[in-house]
Amino acid sequence: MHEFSVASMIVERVKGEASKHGARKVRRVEIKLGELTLVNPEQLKFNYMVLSQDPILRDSELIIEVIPGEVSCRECGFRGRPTYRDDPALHLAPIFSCPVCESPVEVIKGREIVISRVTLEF
Amino acid sequence: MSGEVVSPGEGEVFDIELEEELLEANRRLAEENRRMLDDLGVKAIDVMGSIGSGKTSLIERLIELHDRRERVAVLCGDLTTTIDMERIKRHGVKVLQINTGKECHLDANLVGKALRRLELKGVETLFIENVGNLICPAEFPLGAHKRVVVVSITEGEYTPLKHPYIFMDADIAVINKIDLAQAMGINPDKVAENVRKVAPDVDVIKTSCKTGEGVRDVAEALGIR
Repeated sequence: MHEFSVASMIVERVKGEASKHGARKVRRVEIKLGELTLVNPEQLKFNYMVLSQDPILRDSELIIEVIPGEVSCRECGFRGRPTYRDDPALHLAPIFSCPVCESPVEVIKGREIVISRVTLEF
Repeated sequence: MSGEVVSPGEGEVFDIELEEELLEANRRLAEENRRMLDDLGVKAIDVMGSIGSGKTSLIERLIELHDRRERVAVLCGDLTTTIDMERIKRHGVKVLQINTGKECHLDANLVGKALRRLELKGVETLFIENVGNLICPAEFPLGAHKRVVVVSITEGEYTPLKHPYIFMDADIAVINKIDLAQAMGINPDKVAENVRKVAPDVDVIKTSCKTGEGVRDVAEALGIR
């Protein structure tokens, strides 16, 4: 939902990095996007394209690696992927209870948005 | 050759490893906000929920219950209007509007700026009304001590299942407009059950900000007077 603000953060951060190193162009930006964030990869790519019209960023590629979510159970110690509902209407909403004992789980992975690497051309 | 700086030649390509968490900057600012609030002895409450769920009404009712209004302040977040601020002003409390322009949520930076503008000395309770949205505020903590999500009967019973994150990140879920339950054909207990399915630890309180029912329970759960 806030793909626009996330894309702006990426663009600003990458522009800063390029100018710090005196690069002529940014070729590639690699992002790790947690499965359990509220950011849609396709929309993020689209917003990045819209926002990267600056000559230094134009034609740069945004590569998104989706990081699978992981939850851990406070009661039985289960650790693993969150489960999703059977209901087709709600199939994208994860269930935050333990698939083994149904106790509440904590999210330990999958809510991150990381700029992992920037490829600069000089 | 000592002292010479080696720089990349024209056309050369380098990878720069960053491994930086983008949301970390917001989290750090949220922690700064919290420290500032703690130093001033202010308890901040982030009020989230859909447009029209009753966030402003809940804040108004909670202000009415407060025995010392001079100790209450409100930050109203909205895209472009000052409608909420005008409503809050009538209650004689300090209020500041934050217009986010295009942004769908408040972030810790905007709130930090507003905190510096608002005269917070002597304030005990600060309500931060988030932008009407069930998605983005979940990902942007502001530094508040408590997070409340307001969901209304008129939204139907599925909101918690559709938006689990905002309920997971909240301390209290308020089910508002229970006075309309019969007219809407919606059972408030069913909504509460759906909240518990996604967020078993959250306190669920049913209210009608129109009649005042349940509002005192919200004040108690928030620990405000």
